[in-house]
Amino acid sequence: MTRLSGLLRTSAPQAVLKIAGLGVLDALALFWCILFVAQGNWLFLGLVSGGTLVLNVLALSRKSYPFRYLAPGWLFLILMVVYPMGYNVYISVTNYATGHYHHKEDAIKLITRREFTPPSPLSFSLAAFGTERELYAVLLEGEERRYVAFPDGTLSDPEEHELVDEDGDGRIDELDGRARLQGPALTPHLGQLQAIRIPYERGWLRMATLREFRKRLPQYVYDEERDVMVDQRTGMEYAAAEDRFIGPEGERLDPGWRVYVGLENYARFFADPRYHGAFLRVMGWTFAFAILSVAFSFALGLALANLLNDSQLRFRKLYRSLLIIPYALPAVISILIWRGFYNVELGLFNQILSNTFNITVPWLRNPFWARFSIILTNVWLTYPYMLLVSLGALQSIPGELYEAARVDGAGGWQRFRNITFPLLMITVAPLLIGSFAISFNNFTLIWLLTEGRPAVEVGARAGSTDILLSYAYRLAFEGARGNEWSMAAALSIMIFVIVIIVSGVSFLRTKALEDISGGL
Amino acid sequence: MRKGISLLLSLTLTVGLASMGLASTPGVLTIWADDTRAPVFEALGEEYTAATGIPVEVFEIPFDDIRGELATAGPVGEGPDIIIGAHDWVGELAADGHLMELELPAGLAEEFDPATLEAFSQVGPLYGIPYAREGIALVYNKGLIEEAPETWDELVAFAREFTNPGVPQYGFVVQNPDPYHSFPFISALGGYIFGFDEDGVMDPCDVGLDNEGAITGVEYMVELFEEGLLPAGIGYDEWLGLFEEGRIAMAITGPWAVPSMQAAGQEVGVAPIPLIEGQRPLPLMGVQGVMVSAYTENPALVEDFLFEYFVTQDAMLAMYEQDPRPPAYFPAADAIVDDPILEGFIAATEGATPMPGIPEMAAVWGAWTDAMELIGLGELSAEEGLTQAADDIRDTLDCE
Repeated sequence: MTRLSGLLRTSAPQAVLKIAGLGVLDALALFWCILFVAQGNWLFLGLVSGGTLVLNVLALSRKSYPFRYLAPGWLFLILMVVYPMGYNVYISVTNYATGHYHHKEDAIKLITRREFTPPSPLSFSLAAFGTERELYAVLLEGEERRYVAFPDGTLSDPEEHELVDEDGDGRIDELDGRARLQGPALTPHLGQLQAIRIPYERGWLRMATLREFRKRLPQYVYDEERDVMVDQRTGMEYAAAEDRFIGPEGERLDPGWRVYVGLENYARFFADPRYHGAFLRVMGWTFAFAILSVAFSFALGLALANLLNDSQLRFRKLYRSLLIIPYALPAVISILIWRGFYNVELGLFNQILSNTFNITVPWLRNPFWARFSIILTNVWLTYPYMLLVSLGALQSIPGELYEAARVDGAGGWQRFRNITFPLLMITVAPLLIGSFAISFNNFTLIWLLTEGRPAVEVGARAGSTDILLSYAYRLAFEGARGNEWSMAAALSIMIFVIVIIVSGVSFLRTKALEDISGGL
Repeated sequence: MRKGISLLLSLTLTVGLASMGLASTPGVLTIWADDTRAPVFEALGEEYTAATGIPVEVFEIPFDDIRGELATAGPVGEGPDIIIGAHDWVGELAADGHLMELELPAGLAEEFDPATLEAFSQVGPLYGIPYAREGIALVYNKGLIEEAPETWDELVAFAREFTNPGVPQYGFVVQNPDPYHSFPFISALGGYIFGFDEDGVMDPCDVGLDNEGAITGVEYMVELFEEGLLPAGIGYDEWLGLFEEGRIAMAITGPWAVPSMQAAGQEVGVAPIPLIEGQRPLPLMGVQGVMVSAYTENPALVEDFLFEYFVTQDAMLAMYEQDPRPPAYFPAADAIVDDPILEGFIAATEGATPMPGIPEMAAVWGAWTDAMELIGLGELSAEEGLTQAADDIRDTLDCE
């Protein structure tokens, strides 16, 4: 009933459009669901079918009318925020790293697929028979033996089949009434031909080139009962440990597999000084970098906004356009240009400094100056944003307040301090928190300008300008053996928690600001 | 470092990739190559299709992304059959089981430069077919120095004469901190990254970055820093710009730098790095080649295509035309005459060891770069820096 009444209320063309749209969506969802069932991907099956069901109810039921407008937002929230976060948490409690990429059954499959040519090679020339649509059988001719092989891998004796050599040239042209497939006629069957594995002696025969089947031996055989992988060439047994097969003397058999390790990554981070050694230092610098960047760029932006807001200033529009240039340039390029400026021997800054004052500054080579340079560049990159924000906010402050203040005899500084700044902060404070969070995780700037360098000491895992995020990156990819995804995930979750706490506290304080404005 | 970013990207691209149709399809040969090499494979593919009727699909993928995307797309059946890549990808890819072991047809191994095959077999089995090797050499500006110096003393004598940071102009430059480019100083007198056990398998616990030869070699570099003949920290783009302006006489660099130098009008010569104490400083060798995905459903087509069409003089020469690096396949290398730049690089990398391509290298670069940086800044001596780096590597890799 609800469905019908929901439909009847809307006009006919709209209803048709809605039904059609919903039909397309449901058809797509059904298609995906079938794929997911085929792949055994139960998680996505549940998500997609559940999601589609919810969308259908939302679209058809009258009661849920208001939720219709929220639904897309939810959808994107789940897709873009909740799902990646959830995945990140999942990775952080596994041992996902180089060498532990697959699940165990896939690792076993990969290992047992390995094969080798036996010391005494055996090959058969191949002739395929069938029709354009169907592969019937393959005639294998070796030096001593001949077989008829079927696509399911069974062998039979050619004597039991009818082989016809029409023109008498020694080549069989027909097998059980099926024609020999050659050239283009063979091409459609290549996929199937290559998939044939014919059990043969201790190994198998498989297609090795376009003209031949060859005997191969398995390099490893998996003993499921004992959970042991046996090397067929050496007889060595690799026993399954927690996350890989290991030989009697600790030989590692690649690949290993992915397992759930609980909070081990977090524990390892706090237990092993190689990981956490630089954490506090890096965190201190990250906060200093983010706070100073925001403070200086806001101060500069606000000061310039105040100047530009003065109606007595000429060429305001020109100045405004010029001042916004750093914001308009792609940061990736401007950061590299700054890096060039900072070069000690050849950079612009030192050339000017040494020519005019005869001094050289070790810009990116000394920890203090490298940090100074990073903040300087970041302020240059971000002040236009602050300028724009402040300009907008300044214009929203009612002029009467200033008049009243003037009547009361307040000077310029007092007017700024008591009217402009508090009112400005109401609108700007949340944006400052946002800027702080962006600076806090500004990997691009650090990586392009200094790569976290200069080094503090050899093997410290973090240079003097590394921020938490670049530190996490180094730990993950310059850690030990290849990539440590799970450690990176654990660290990024810790960073996430820090940012959440800082932002949460700041937002609470902004609330307090709003209360002030409420009282005004 | 860059590889990490591309891996991250490729992870986020998983979903997008699946819909791009880069599938390994039975009966269709799928090849991933970068923009330089893709045209060669497209031409080879057309030839192959014409002869056999088997379709070949070549996808152009940025070089740095190929490795990560194979790992993402391969296991779900969306990957290629064949990729083009560098030998130092093998360790990581093989550790995750992404690569298929290869067997060369009898007699073919003799036709390859043995060092290049060795490079693709560092973890044991052969995981790739090499087509070219590369390495760094002494690249000099013939307008500033007529002939490359034979010995290190001659190089330093010229640098003293020529260098004037105020102009700026430098007699000799090498990127720093950049272990790949300063490795010849390590290797000259007997330093190495990882040693080999008696079976010829690389032993990550035998770190040779702090042996006497390595330290003495790096001290030659330190002398240049101390005398002000070599900037302590200089990146590729910075010095290349100066070279193009004719302000640098000699640099240690690779074939990739030569085209832009020539385009800037400099006449370039290439020679082996001058002898230090009578020993030849050898660079790390990089080897380019093709690898086969472990997830291929076309093992027979792959073998047929690679050994009948790719390992041929014509195809290898076509690769050289597109990407002029010394061919690893002798019949192709022997057919190239009158390319002095190539001959220079061949001479400079003669006898060089392939760069270790095992996953443990991730632990090496960071500490080693730190050491070279602090040595360059004069905060640590060559001995202190290299010893600390080697100790840190041993510690990270849990060696006694």
